[in-house]
Amino acid sequence: MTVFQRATLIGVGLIGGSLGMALRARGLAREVVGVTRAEARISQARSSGAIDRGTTDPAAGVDGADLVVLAVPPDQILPAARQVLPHLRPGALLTDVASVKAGIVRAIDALIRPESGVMFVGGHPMAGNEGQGIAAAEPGLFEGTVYLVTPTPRTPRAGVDRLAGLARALGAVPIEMAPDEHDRTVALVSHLPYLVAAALMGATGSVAPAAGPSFLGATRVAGSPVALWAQICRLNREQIQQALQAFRNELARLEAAIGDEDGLDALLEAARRARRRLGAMQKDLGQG
Amino acid sequence: MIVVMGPGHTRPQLDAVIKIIEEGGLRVQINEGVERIVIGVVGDSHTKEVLREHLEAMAGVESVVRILQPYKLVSREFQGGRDSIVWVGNVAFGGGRVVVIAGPCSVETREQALETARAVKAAGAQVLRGGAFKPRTSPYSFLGLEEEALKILSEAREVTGLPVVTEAMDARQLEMVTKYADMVQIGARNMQNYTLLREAGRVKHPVMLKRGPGATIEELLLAAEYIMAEGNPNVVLCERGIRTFETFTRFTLDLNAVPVLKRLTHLPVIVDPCHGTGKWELVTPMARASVAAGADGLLIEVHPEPAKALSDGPQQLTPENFAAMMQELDAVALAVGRRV
Repeated sequence: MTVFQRATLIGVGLIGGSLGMALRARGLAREVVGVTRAEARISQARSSGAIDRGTTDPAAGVDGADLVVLAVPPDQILPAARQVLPHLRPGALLTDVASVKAGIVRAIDALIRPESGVMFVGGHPMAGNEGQGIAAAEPGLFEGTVYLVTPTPRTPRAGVDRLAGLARALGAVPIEMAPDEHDRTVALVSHLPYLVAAALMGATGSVAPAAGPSFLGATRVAGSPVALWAQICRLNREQIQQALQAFRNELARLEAAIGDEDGLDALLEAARRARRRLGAMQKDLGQG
Repeated sequence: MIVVMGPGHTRPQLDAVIKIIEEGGLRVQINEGVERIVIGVVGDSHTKEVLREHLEAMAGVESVVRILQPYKLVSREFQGGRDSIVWVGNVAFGGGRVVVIAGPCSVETREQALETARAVKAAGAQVLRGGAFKPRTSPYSFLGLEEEALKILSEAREVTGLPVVTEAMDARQLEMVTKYADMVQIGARNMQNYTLLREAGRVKHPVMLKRGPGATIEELLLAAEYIMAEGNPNVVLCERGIRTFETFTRFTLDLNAVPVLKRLTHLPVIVDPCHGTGKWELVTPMARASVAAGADGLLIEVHPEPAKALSDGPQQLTPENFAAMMQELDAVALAVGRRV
C-alpha cells in the first residue's frame, strides 16, 4: 500500500483513535491529524499516540489530507461529510466507519460533485470492544478482523482498491458488499447478537449472579454503551426485524426439537460444527 | 512451490523472503495462519529451482515444498490446506453452509423472472440465477433476451435482495454482465475458452466455472488456474455432469468430483443436478446426494411452468417441487452435520 501523506480523522473515539494509533504504529500515514469537538480531547488523543496534531476546525483539519475518515457516531456522519467536502483536495479518499450503510452511503454519494475529484468509499471495520472513547482505543483493534467495504455503482474502483489496501495494511481482511447487503449482513451478525444479549440479561433476571463463563461470553456485548447501539438499531430497523424473525424461527425449531432427541442432537451438532469452523477461520485471520 | 514460514519467524525475515522471490521475477501469494505463514510462489519453474536452495537456508523458513500438480493457485496446499471463501454479495460460498442458487434456465419475461425469484427466495434460496445469453445446440433455438434479461435480473435483485449470477460467453458479454450481475458464470461449453477465462480473471466479480461435459477434473482445475493466474481469486467450481455411454440421463452427474475436488483444491464446489440428469424427477434425489457428498452448494433451475419453458423445460423444477426439495435437503444436511 502506498503510504498516505496526511490522514485526517474526524472524531477520535474508540474507532478513530484506534485507527490513528494503527496508522502511526504501522507507518501507513506520514501525519495523522485528529478533528475533535472539544479542545481538551486533542491533548488526550495526542498523549495516547492516536494523532500527531489536532484541531477543532474540520476545514483546517482536512486541508491537504489524502485520507479522511469520518469516525463519528452514525447520526453525525452526514453533517461531518457536509462540513469537510468543500475543503477536500482532488484525489482525496473519503471514507466513514458507520455500522449502518445504505442511507449514509447514498446521501454522501449525492453530495459529491464528480469534478471535485474526491473519492468516497463507505467502510465498516467489524472491530470494537465494550469500551468507549479514546480511553478504550488500541492499535491492534483491527488485526484479524473483517473490514466491510461498501461501494455503489458510482464508487470509483481506484478508491475501493485503496480502502481495501488500507484494510489489509491494518491487518484486517476486506470484504466488498453493496450497502444494502451490508445492512442485511450486520443485522444478522452484529445487531441481532446485541439484542439477543440484552434479551438474555432480561430473561435471566435475579439469577444472573449465578452465571458462569458461557453466560458472560454470550452477553458480553450487552455491556456496551447504549446510546450508540440504540441509534444503530433504529437506523437498521427493517433489516433487524427480518433478522429477529429468522432468530425466532430457529428458536421455535430448537424448542420443537427438545421433545425429539435425535432432531435436537442434529441441530446442535450442525451448530457446533459451524461454530468450530468459524472459530478456525477467525483463527486463520489471526484472532487466536 | 510454497515456502512455509515457521512459528516464531519475524516480519523482517518474511519481508526478506518475499523480496528474494520477487527479485527473481516470481509472484507471491501469502496465506497467513496463526503460527505459520504459507507463501505461494508462481512463475518460471527454472527460476524457482535456482531459488529453492537459497530460500531453504533463509532465516525463519521452515520448509520449501514443490507442488507437483500442474495447477498451483487452485491447489489445496497453496491455501495452507484450508477452504477459501468466495463472497457473492453478502453470501459466502465455502463457509460451511450449503448455499442454494436457484432460478429459471432463461429469463423469458419480467413476470416469469420476478415470480420465480420471489418463490425461490421464500423457499430458502440464497442466490438467484437466470440466463440472459443462452448457448444452445441449435442456432434456431431461443438464444436469450440478452441485456433486457440482465435488467430484469437486476430488478429481481432489488425486489428480493438475492445476489444474481448469470452466464457470459465472450468478452463483450462479460463486460455487460459485470454491469448488472454479482457473479459471472462460465458455462460448460466455454470451460476451455482460454481467452474468456483470462478476461474473467481480470474482472473483480466472482466467477462460477462449470465443468465441461468432456473435461477431466484436472482440466477443470487448470481452467480455474487460468482465472486465478490473472488475479481473480474468487472462483466457485460447478460439477454439472459428464458425457458417458449412458443415454437414459442427459449427462452422468459425476458426484465423485465433489470429494475429489474438495481434496485437491481450496475452492468451493457446487453441483448442478438439473443439467447433470436432464430430468426434473431426478433432481431432488441427486441434490440430496450432492449435499451428502459434501458439496458447498447447489445450482437448481426453477420455472413457474416448466412445460412452457423456452429452454431446458424437462429438467426444471416447479416452485412447489423446489420448496419440497429444500425441505428434504434440510434433513440430509442435518444428517451430515450441516445446514442449508
